Amino acid sequence: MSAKIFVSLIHFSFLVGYWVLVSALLWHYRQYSLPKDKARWVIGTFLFFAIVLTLLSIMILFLIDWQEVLKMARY
Amino acid sequence: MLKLHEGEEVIIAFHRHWIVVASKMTVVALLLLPPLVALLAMPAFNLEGGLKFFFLFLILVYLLVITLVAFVLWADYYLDVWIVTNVRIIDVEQKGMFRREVSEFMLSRVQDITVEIPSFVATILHYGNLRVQTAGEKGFVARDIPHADKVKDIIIKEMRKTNVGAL
Repeated sequence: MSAKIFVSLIHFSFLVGYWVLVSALLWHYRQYSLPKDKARWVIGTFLFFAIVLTLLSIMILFLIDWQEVLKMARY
Repeated sequence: MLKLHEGEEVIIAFHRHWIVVASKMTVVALLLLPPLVALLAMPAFNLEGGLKFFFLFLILVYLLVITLVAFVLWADYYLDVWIVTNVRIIDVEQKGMFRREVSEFMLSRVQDITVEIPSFVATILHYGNLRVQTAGEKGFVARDIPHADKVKDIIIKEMRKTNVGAL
């Protein structure tokens, strides 16, 4: 159980860092892109993949039997 | 957003040629191959439930990082922009994620414009480098811009208008 909490903490810290970087990039884009910008679909595609991958990684994180993984790592 | 002076209008704004970002994205596409191979090879290893999810989790985290790398590369390409207005040329250069350099040159101070087509590929794909020399200033080089000769003609046309207006 403690392994799961530890890994979850690491993963959520990683996700917080990840989304801070994503927000910084989006801020740059909004701040410096030209009016009538035609590349909004790129931002949409990136955000779609980032959200889907984030949600999937969180879902799978809770499906992993960490005791089994640790046992395998010891052998 | 770009702030224009009174009576100023944007004539043309351009980024680097798409080949610049395409070559970087090819590297990203190559980085996507290892997780794809791992996903395809996973059934052959007969992994148990917990380990299967563990490898899937590692692949997802790897894909998250690659997605961010791709976006950083695209933003680096896309936020490099040259804007020609009826008054000045603005050269905006994004350097990495947080560094930016913005220079501007008045059209009335432009002295010399040179177009350079650096390679065979550039000839075929119609892109090149544009060197602009200005009086008393450093000038600038716009690298890998599409239809460099047409851009040069536009700048010269606007320069003439500016100089005629000043007379």
